[in-house]
Amino acid sequence: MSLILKNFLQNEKALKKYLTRFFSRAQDIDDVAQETFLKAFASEAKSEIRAPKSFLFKVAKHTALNEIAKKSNSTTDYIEDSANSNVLEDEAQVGAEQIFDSKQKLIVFSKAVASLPPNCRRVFLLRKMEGLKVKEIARKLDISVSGVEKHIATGLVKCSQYFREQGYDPTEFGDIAATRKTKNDVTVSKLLRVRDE
Amino acid sequence: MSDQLNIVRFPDRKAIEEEAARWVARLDARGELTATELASLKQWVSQSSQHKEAIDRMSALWGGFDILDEVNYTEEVVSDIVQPAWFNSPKWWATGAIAATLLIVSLVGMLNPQQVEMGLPQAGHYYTAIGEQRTIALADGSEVILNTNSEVKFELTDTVRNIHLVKGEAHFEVASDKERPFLVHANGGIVKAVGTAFTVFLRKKAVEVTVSEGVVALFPQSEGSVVDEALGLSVASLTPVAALTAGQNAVFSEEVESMTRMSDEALDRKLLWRGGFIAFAGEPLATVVADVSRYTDVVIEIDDPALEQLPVGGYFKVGEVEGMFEALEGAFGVSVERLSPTKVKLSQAS
Repeated sequence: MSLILKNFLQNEKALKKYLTRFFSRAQDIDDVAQETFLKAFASEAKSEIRAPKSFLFKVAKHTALNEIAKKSNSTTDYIEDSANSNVLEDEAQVGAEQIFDSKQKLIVFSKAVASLPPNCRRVFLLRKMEGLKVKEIARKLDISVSGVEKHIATGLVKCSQYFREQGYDPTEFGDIAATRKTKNDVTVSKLLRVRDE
Repeated sequence: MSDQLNIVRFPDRKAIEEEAARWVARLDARGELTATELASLKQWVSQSSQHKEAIDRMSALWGGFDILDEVNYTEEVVSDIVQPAWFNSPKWWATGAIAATLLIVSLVGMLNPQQVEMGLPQAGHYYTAIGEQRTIALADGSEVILNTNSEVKFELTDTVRNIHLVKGEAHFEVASDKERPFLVHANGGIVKAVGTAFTVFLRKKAVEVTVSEGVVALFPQSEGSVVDEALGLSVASLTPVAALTAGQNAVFSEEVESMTRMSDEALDRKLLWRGGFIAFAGEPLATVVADVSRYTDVVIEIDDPALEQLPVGGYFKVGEVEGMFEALEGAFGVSVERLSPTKVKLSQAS
């Protein structure tokens, strides 16, 4: 498990309590806590975090203030042109919902990756975040191609288990996320479907 | 015998999933399968519907991880800390580079929530200077956040938790303890809580209370002073003038002067000072200036009655009046005239 995820899980309650300084609604606190994890995870994926616990609180504060600035701007905008804002507001609502939906997915997948053992995690991040080919990953980590394959297979089984434990159906979650972004990668099911036709 | 049949027909779900994952990994690594491999994959899949489901599941899951590409576009927070809205103005950067450095240093100082876990006093007396804020952790697990220019005394006994707000404003996060009521004495009145979160602000004569969590009871000044001498023990015999729930704000002295229910946004803004910021969403400039003035020695005058009504939105780091002046000049067309280092006049820009 990554240090950020470990510290996030250990301090989630304290972090949320800390966030009550900025927000009163449980939903806002929850959203900012999850956003905090995501930002901290993104930072961890790209550089080393030395003091993960205090880093998480730092990120939480940063995120909270940004969120409040966003909200207070939108309140001001609303005051300024409240006359014709109804339609616009509705559209913004839909947009926000979709963004939130895909962000939630990103958070769930990030947590799944963060829960993997270090080598597995590194392979997943190099393949899916940095977009390296398996051969390139093998060279970079100085292991064989079948070694990379093994990490992918192990990671997939662990993530599938992780999703089940968190109450998600891995098929459904994976499918939705996969269809929203069609990459040219050949997948097993695609391959089987094509050959069957 | 029948056991064996079962094993053949319904193999372990985990084993199937592992094999499926290996197929998905192999295809991802090679990009294609040889004819022989494909044949053996088809043979594998045809064993049962479980096999087919497993390969679909693993394949979809691996595809789902494409979403990690978005981590590349997720904001990283490494060394930068807080950039309030007015931070982005280039003019501000030109004039305030040193101030910015100081701001970041002071924020780093504030960003240590663990520091409050040490000490844990049973009694104490704390002050803050103008522009200063501090968090005090009490021995019962409660927390007091003292705002600018404020003073608080407290004593925890086995039967009661007595807090005296002598000056200014404080927010209380009360650890639940039904045996020991948490009494905040302010201007002779009492705010009573068991386990909740609320803010008390001493006005000239009255007391303003905002509740962010749970319920508090308000006891009026006249009776409050009696209870005070009895160390709050007889508070049970008193009749509260009002009970406030989360999201409510009241001003009271001998009786309740006003009581309002706040929106979540308004409540968040009202309590934002605890994070070192104050926010406004269209309040008149006069109100904004009065509020900002609590955090600074600088005296701010408004020259023009019409200007006093100018609605102002935005948020500011407490004590950073320069930032507010920049914003007023830039975004609101207000002329800022510095009469002396501690006196500023605001007027309508001509």
